[in-house]
Amino acid sequence: MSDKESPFAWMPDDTADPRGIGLSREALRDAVDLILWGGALLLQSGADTALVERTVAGLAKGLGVDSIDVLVSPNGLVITTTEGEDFRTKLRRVTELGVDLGKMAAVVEIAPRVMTGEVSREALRARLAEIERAAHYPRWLVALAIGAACAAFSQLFHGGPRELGCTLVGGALVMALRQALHKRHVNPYLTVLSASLATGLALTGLAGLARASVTVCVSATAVQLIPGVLFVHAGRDMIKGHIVTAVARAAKATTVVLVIAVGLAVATAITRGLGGPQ
Amino acid sequence: MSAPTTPLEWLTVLSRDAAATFVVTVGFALLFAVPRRYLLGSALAGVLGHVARTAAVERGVPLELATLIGATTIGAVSALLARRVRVPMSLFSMSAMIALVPGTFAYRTMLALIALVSTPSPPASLATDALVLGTRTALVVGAIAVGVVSPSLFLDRSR
Repeated sequence: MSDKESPFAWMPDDTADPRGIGLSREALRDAVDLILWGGALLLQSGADTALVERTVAGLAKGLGVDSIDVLVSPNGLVITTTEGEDFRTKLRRVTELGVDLGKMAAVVEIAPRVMTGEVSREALRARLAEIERAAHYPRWLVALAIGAACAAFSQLFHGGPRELGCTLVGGALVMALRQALHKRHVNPYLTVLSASLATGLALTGLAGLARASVTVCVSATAVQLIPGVLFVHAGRDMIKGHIVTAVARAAKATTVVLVIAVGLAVATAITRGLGGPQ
Repeated sequence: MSAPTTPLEWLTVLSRDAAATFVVTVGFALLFAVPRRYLLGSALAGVLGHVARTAAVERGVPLELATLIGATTIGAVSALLARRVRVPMSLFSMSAMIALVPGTFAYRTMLALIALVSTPSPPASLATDALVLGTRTALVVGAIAVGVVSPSLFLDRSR
């Protein structure tokens, strides 16, 4: 905002923004806390680094923090706020880089309303708590939808009705397995390994029973495990110059792909050992 | 499969493709917890992108280039939708691009690599297979990432 447009332009320079004047030590601490919370929610729900930085800056401005510096790392955020000669720095760890685009959208949508002053600090705290607790789609619905998606994939891979049936059942079962493991907080790589092993074994079996194509059935089901969001955001971070988060995302995505390959390879070895398709 | 020639054949091929892509995109949008009001937008991006790729492939364009065309379509549609409703484009593009993932190529690459290491004195053709399949998989994945991201660099001025 330029001085001309500012409603506070009549004020002396050293009190640039009256919203900043009222920021006591407690208020500033509170604001920093909320800003970090919003940023952490974004980072763990799959936002790319540029989006985290932009939203954090918007929240800071809205809460009356004069000057802010953000560092987004794959494992957390650091922000430093400066008030005159005084500064404070706070770090917040983020352990899980998941995908929850609904959560991401909710945080992004609230930032402009904080900036216009429509949402106060207290309201923001309540809203962030609400966003954190927000319900996903029901698990059974997601499992069915992913089963249907795998079945549709079998058609994109030029499969027929037999492949469609196998992947519909197999895709939903593998998704249900992933949900069950996720709920028990099993290590994510172990979850992917179990899911890909299950995919290889179950779909080879189903395809054998239904005399369907094993390649189409297994690949259409395994597609659900591919970390697409990580790959694309790795690229986006890299292009925008956020090399550290880009490399971390790419490394994680590559590891997941390798784990999928190991699971499928072991499954292939087992089914061949049992006299399955060569 | 022979390439479609008559308009009716084109319509059949592309509408089948659109229907399957719709199911894939909405399925993954539910997995990614995309809010209900954005589901149709992501389905639109996904269907347009994949139908564009299929049309290109049927016209004889190589898969890698066709994927770049499809992914760029997804990136452009998502960025335009995102600009209209002022939300991040990932809400639309992430589930939309999934249908482009080269699943069978990746799986066949893996099978070729397994065959390569488990066959005693493997023939050179096995190594060639693995190399060709692996390279094509990598190129298609790269085309998806580049295609989805690049339109937003032009369309979204706020970044």
